[in-house]
Amino acid sequence: MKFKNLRKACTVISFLLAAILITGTIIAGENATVINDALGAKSYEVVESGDGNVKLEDTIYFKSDFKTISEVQANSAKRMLEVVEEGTVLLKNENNALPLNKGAKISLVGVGAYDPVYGGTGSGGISATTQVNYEKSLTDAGFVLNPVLVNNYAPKDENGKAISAKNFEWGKYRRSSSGRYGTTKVLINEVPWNVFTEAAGDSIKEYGDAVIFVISRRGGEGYDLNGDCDGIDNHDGIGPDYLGLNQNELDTFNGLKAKKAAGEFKKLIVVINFSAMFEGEFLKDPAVDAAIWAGCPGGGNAVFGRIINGEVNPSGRLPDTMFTDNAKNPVNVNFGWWVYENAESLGVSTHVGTKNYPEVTLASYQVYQEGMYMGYRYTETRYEDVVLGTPKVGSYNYNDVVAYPFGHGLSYTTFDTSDVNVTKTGDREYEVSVKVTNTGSAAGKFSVPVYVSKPYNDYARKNGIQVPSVELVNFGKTGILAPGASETLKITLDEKFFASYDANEAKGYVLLGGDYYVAVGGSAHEAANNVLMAKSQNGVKIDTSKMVGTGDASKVKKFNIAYNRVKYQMSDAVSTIDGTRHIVTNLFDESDINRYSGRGNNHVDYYSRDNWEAVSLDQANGHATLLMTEQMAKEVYSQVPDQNGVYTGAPEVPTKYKQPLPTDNGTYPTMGAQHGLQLIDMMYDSEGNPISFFDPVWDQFLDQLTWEDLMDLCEHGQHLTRPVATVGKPGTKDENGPNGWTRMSYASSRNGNITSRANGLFYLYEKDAGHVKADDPNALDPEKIDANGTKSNTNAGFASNGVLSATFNQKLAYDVGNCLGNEGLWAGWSGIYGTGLNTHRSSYLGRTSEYFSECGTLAGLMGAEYSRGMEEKGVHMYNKHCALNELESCRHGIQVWLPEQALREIYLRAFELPIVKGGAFNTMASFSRFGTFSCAANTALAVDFLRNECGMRGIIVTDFYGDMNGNQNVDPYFEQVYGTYVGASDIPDGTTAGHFAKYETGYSKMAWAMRLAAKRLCYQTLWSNAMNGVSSTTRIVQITPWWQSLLTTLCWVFGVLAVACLGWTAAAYVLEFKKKKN
Amino acid sequence: MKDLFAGKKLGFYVTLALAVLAVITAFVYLGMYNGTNYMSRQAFFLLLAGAVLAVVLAFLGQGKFSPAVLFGAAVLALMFFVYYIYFFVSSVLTGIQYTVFPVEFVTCVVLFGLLLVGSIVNVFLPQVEEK
Repeated sequence: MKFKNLRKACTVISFLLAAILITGTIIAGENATVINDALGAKSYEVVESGDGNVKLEDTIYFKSDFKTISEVQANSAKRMLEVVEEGTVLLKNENNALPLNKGAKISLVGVGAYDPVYGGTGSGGISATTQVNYEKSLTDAGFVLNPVLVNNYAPKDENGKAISAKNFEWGKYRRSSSGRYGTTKVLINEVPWNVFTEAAGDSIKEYGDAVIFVISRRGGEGYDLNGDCDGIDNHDGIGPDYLGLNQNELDTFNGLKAKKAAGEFKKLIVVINFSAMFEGEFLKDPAVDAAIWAGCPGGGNAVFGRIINGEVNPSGRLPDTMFTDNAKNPVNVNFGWWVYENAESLGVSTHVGTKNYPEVTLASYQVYQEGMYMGYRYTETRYEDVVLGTPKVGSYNYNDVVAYPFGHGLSYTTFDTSDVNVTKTGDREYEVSVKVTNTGSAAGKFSVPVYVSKPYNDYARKNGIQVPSVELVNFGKTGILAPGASETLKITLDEKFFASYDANEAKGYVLLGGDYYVAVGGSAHEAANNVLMAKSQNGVKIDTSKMVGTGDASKVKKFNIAYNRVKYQMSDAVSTIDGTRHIVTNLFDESDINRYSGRGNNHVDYYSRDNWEAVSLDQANGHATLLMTEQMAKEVYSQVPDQNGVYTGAPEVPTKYKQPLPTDNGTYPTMGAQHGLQLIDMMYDSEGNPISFFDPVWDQFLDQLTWEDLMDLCEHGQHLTRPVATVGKPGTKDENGPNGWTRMSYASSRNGNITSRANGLFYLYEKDAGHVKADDPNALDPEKIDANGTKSNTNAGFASNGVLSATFNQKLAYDVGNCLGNEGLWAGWSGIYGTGLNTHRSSYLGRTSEYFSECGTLAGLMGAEYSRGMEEKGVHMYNKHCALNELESCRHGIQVWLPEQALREIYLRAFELPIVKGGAFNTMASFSRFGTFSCAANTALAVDFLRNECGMRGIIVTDFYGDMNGNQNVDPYFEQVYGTYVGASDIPDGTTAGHFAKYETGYSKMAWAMRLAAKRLCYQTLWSNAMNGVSSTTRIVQITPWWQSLLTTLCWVFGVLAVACLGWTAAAYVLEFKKKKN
Repeated sequence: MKDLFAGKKLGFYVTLALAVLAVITAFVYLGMYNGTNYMSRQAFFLLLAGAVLAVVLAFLGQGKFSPAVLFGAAVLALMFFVYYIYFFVSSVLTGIQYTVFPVEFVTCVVLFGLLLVGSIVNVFLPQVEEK
């Protein structure tokens, strides 16, 4: 009895601990990949089983351009600056207000000047180590800044270190946000004018060579910019406007104008620090001497001061149209999300998710009613129709609508383009030749965009083909031209860009019969004017009095092309499904509400240049309205066949919509065979030729995989692909982009242990150099290795992709991709979740910092070179978010409806070119839907377009994680098993452990689909830098991470202890029982 | 009826109170999470079974086993509760979902917690007068 309490205590404690440890071990096991990643723990090792005679260099399949990490970092630093040098856009420069002389006294105004927006938030975030604010950039460039303002905007302590914004008076005026994640309400703030003037006193007079007023705006993942903010509501339907001046800024602007008028300072320079376009009306104010669109400069903002002092001559061109007022951009009428008002009557939940995801996932929609007429395709086409006197053009005053057109950009010098010639050099190639001469007094670069103007003829009108006035087809850029110097650019055009997609009659690309005008150089507006003049010379009647600006027909060449529906009917690429070229035909009828088979009575009048009067600018009520149909409801629920999510708006999937995957009696693929094939054996055949994806030997290789292997491969993502030890497939480590590696280290040093990815060049070279610990040949010795390798966040953080687009320099896009590729190669990253190729459909889109442009061709051409540079280093692109992710505020499950012509010529072109021309391997599926089908469940997109038409070789990762199965308290709208079943997605960006288990028998179609996904996973791993260091004698050895071993040991210890204590208790009761009995 | 309570000590009454608490916890949990991913039927039935068995044992003269039964049921039910709700907790902690834990979650955590603590204490309480 005397041990009774001790016995009880031991039993209670051991039982409790055993239960906690067992439960914890199970939970940890389900999330092992995430924990491994967080702890830097290995789940497999790459070991050499041969005689050790394999030379490292023979196993480096993807080589770096650099010999040390220092060289890699130097290259990154250089590239970040180059992008800003060439991507900063000089919008306005009256009377050569810029550049300023070094030593000029400047008053730097605006909280953004001292706290700039360098990039986006979420996956658009970048490394923070190399960022330079405008204050430092200008000071470093030799300017003297107004100390009164500096000390108020950004005071520093006695050591020169910036004081936290919480600890000084003007800190409260900095840009901020409310809501837990900074996404509920975005606040511009800014210093009130009366506060400013009181503090500034007469200092502006003293520092009055110029005032630079910086206006900053931030956007990012998960929120758009047309929500709650402290902007001015000018009752144009947009509401409080985040992309216009707020009251404090407007007061500041007006106050500065008054001071300038009073002679207190000489020049007013405005800088727009935002990844997309700000409302530009105020920039036209005569008081503004110069204006700059700086985008988000990333780690390249040190350049800014050197632009202001003239050391760097800006050469960027706007990647988007800058509207005077965003309410005059008709796209914004249909930018947002709406709910089918009859959805509940069909049994479809319209539950709005809570808190961070106030979204309707099953019954929300958005219509791209503008069709082809978005951005410059709208502004210039309607303008052309005004000049042409087209009927029903409506009321449209170009100057009132457009502040600065797409492609606009000034320089500190002047350039002349002459000797323009365009010749047809091949079956589908044209060569543009243009001589560029620097006619000014400063050295600089000059880009030459080339546009095509297609015939808008009767065939087009009859079949609803929309033909914008001008469309970008390619561009070139000179090197630095000294004053008086010339360079002749040769720019190749692909005639396929002349073709228009005809979804009605030809159901494919057609060359419309008639005159084509190739316009060389300038902004989209200059090109439109040049084409108008050329048309005039060709007998077309124009009203020159209605022209805004003048045109020059000598910059335009005309070609007459006959109607042709055959020439581009076949895909350029070979399908990775069957190895053949496919007929390009309608794939997306089901995404066009007017062609959708279940449209019911729905109909949308997409914008047409035959009736501009139908374009609505009614921001409140002008949007297209749709009703849900029974077929829509059924299709929406078909993508959740297992129904393992939680419906918060209804108890479960309505019975009539339950659609489990069908069982079948088909034969399962062979599994677990022993053919002795390792993944490295699939690289080259005995003659040294690469083994094709279609080679039958792949079947033997895949026969070796077990059911467990297939499940493991298909169920795990989270920035990785899983290893398969038995076939020598290493795991891959992937990371977020697109503006730089979001999380970066070449290696980590913790407590004297170096953690590094086994395929990274840093690890491989250090190990090969013998820099390993004495007691472990696989562990690096922190005392011997290059210390630069273990410094975190030493990678590039590039400017927003719009700035890269603004360079109009495809070589630079390649260099950026190559730069990140080299970083990935050294670090052991084998894939990047990026680049961002969605479209700047509206500036209110939260994630414009990740995307390139409003023009799919510009985005596609830049993205192709970016991808090529990255892929050459064995880093696979997961270009995202494929596609139609042009909204953040209801991105989960929103149904997007649009005509196939716009889908193909704008939105998908941005994804197509990087695959076809840049060799991009992978994509990340968007959360949104094409019509009713989620992008990750859409066979038209994934199979027919990406794999058949574009020849995409790799995998599709879906951002699927908890937020698609109800765990975010939004209605679940997609299950990965469905995506895999139909071949539209291969892995989740997360873990779906156990989701495929039920398909082990009776679902042969699922098994074959999983095997195909596994094949793609292995194939893309094979042709990535994950294979660096792997030879034919290398083996992948699965190991149990240390933390799992520890947990298992503890489980056993306390389990045994609990059992012993229970035994002790039982024995005590037996003794007690016997005692009483006696 | 009076005989049923004859010779019973504090632990006996605590056992009854804990049994009631287990039933309350089970039905509150059911009421708040039924039809969701976070509902563990194992936890629900363990709580009910533990409560019923503990009471039956208590009135059948085997009350000394009741605390162990209640403790075992409380621990196992809590583990099932944790297992079924951990993803939700992680999504809150990692900032994917709610700003704060909602009242239903807090209520269940408090009830499960009280039950566990009470059942541990009860293990050390005398149930009947020692003869």
